[in-house]
Amino acid sequence: METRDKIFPRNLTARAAYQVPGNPDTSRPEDAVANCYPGLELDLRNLDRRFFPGLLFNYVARPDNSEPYSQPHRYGARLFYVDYRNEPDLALPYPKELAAASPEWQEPLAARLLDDLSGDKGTALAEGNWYIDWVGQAVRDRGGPAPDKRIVMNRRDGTPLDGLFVWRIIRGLEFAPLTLGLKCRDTNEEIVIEGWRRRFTHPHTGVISLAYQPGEMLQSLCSPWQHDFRDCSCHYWASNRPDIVHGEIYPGEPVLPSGRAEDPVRATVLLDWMRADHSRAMAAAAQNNYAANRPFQMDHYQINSTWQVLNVVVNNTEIGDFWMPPQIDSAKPYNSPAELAKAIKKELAPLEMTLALEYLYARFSLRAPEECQGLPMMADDMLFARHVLILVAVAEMEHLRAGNELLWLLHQAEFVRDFEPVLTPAKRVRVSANGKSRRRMLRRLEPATLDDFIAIERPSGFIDGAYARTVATLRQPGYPKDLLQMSERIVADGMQHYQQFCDLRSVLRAYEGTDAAGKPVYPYLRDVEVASDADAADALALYGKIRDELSVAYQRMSSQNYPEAGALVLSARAAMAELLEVGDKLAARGIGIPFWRP
Amino acid sequence: MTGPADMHRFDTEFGPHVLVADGSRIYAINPEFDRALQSAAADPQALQALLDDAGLGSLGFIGGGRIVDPPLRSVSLSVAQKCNLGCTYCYAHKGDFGSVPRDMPAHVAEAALQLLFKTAATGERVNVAFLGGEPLTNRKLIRTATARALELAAKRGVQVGFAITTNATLLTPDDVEFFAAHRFTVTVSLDGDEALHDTQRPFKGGSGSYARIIARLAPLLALQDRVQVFARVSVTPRNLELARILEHLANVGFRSVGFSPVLASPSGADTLHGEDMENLLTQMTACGRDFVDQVIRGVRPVFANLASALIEIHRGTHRPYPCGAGAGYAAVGADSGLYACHRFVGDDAGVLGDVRNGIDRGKQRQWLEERAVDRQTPCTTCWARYLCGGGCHHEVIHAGRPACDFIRGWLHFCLQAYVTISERAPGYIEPLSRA
Repeated sequence: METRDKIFPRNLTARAAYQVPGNPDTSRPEDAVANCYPGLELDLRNLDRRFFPGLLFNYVARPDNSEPYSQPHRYGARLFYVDYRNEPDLALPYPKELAAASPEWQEPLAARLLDDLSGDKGTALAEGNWYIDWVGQAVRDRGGPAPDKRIVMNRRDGTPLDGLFVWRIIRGLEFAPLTLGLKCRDTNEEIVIEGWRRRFTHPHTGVISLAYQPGEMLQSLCSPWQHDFRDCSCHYWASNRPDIVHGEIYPGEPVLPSGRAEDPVRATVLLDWMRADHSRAMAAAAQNNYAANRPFQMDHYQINSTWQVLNVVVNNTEIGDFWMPPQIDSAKPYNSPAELAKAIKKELAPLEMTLALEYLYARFSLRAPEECQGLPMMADDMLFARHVLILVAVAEMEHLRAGNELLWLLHQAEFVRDFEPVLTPAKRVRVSANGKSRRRMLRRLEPATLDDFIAIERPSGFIDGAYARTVATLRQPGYPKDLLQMSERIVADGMQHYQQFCDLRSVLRAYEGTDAAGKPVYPYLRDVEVASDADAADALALYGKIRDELSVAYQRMSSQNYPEAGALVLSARAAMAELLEVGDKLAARGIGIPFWRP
Repeated sequence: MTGPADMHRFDTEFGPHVLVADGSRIYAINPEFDRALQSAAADPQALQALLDDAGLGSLGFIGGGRIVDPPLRSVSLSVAQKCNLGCTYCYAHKGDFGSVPRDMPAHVAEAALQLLFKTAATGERVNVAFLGGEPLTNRKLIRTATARALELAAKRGVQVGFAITTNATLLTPDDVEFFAAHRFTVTVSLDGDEALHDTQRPFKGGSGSYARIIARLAPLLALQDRVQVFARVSVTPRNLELARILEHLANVGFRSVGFSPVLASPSGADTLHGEDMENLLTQMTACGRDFVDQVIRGVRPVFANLASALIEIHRGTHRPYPCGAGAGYAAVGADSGLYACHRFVGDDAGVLGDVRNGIDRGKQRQWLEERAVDRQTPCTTCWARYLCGGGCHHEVIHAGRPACDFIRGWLHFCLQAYVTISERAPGYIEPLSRA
């Protein structure tokens, strides 16, 4: 007996319920797209194109019901062609099995219909613009002789019905003898032909009538091998048609616990899923808009023939020939809610606050675009750089808030006894999981500073690891689910910050140089130094106000007094916006805000 | 919350396995996962997380809802509430259900059949069983009711199946022809060899019934290709040598033999207790091992208990009730009452209406609500609850649940046997889904 490396379902219920590892929930039949969007597995209208044995119709309609009724002569059920030769229902005599499964009237009627279609009527129908003018079917269950109920495919004003309306009427016909009035719109000639509404599926086996050609039922749906799929923008296909994805993890490639590549560049670069060139060398980052990506994507003709190179995507990551399920929760959960709370309180939240302030200080050190007179390129770059830093600083403030929120939610869920807001920056910044750390520093954005920032945000660095443990802890049952989501978001943010800082470094590298004495100069930086409390009094007052208000706000949050908490948070935010302005003005004068003393 | 009640791990020669109670799903697991399961066994939360992660969590196969007003699909007619035997343990007080011996009047049987066929739609299948006392003491009603049922079935396009449980002392060759003609399922009560049988199932006068039964069985056993015949052995502390009895009855000519432990009897006589249960389990598993060997060797086994358990296990049967009693099945007493099952005839604990007015839906809903396994103590904490269904209602109501350890032990063995046979004789298992 081989060693089973999987969980193996034995009996029928286990087999039916077993989900193969790696397949998403949507792979289960009950989760099929068609359950939410009925009809997406096939286009029912294709069934009714062949509702009458031997004839194939197209339902010609306006693109949309709201469109003007501008071409009534084109609308309706147009006879596409007469197709009695490949018609299983007209292949006479009926084989025994078909004869047994058919009502008595069918075979004689088939004989007459075949005569008609292979004779003069069929010849006439093969030429010209024939449309269904009316259909007639006997009314059942009324007693007495069955009169034909005839429906004419015209509107009240005599103009032809829209094709979709005709289709809807045809859809309502029953499997029974049927009379069809066809009219040639070129000559007004009329032909009446007797047959029956096709039985679409075999009465015993349920197999779809062999009159339908392979793929016919899927016509008009977007499938990967069809033109439509290339341009499809129906986002309910999210799991089937991703836009940007992480690249495939190559066999043997080192990976993070999250399943991403350990190589930070590979972990963060997003590829265009529909890129035409799937070679590794061409695994360049996707552009941030559709038009920019379009030239590098597969074209219509390519997707028809090479759609199979499009990769399956699991967890936003392409999988190639190999797929290894990621190790689940390889991060060690904290031993208890108390230990988790302690880590957030003593390490994570203070660290986030320190980083927010370091990034903010660095942001103040950058010249404003208007200070880059005569250097339009640098003005642009400064706009970008200042934007990146404020974006990341704000994210760190959000994480600080999230840390506090985790604490008060743990408190509310009675996992920990007390809640106390954390609004004190950490004195040291832990860089790596193995304990390496540095002093907290208020510095200009020199390359060394930026390198430190990158080191902090690097995937698999200390923050990543600490939050991985938080996530692993919160993933355990019993914790409120929103806590887990919050912590997972922080991890995802870290990935982005790393990428943004790397981009920033490549931008700023252009401005590195040395003066005559060989000393490095940074033309994009202001001459900012950490100032005295007195010089930065206004800014420090705002900083104090922000901390005080947030502290009370978080207290109110923990006691679920949300209106009061909300008002305080709003006020603190206004103060933050003001601090941004005040701080920028001070920095322009060389005054750096002393958020802390070394 | 997942706890020991939601899964049961068991070892087999093909490695560790788990039964997930929800949906009676069975999985082979790797040793690593097994170790994780065992170390999490005491921590319901961790256990649930493990199972959920592995895709083995609850899928809600059995919800909190109850079946409401199920249509009647099966009736048993107590055509004769009297018996010529005086079995020591008889739930029916030696055949008369503790009252004056009597036959079921023909109009009661007619009303019962009308009721049964009234709700049956074309193409559906219904069942009519003839029970007693000893049903063959009222042979005439069996014949007329069968004819009437066939007539109603033909009229409504319904299929009907027949069954009878008899002590076979009155069986005639003519009866056998009749059973074969109408494809009866015949269950014969036989408790072992002559000595064992006669101590437990004597005639009312005290003389042994075995010799007479065997003499009358021959034509029935000869027709087993046309009539399904089962031997049913009521197990008391006096006939616990099951393997020997099984062999004996196979030699008599039965192709299928089932054991049914006596847990409750009106007098308390001959019921199994304490140590008897352990012996019973030992004996049952011994028969089970022989069964597995026979299947692997390609020999057709006669031990019915394991054969039916394997069908249920393979299908993953998960039942909120032990049987259809009080739901799709009702027993009709000679007094025209409708009872939850044949054991409840004449017993107020199981009255659910009468044949003229039909099922009292209020009473039935109450029954279904009260009897659901998820309402039973200690069933909610038992991993076997959806395989067992909570135990025979009649026994539980009158004697509690003295056999739970036995049932768990037996099911544990059946699960192991299922895995062994799946691996060693897969050709036996796969057709069970159609059995």
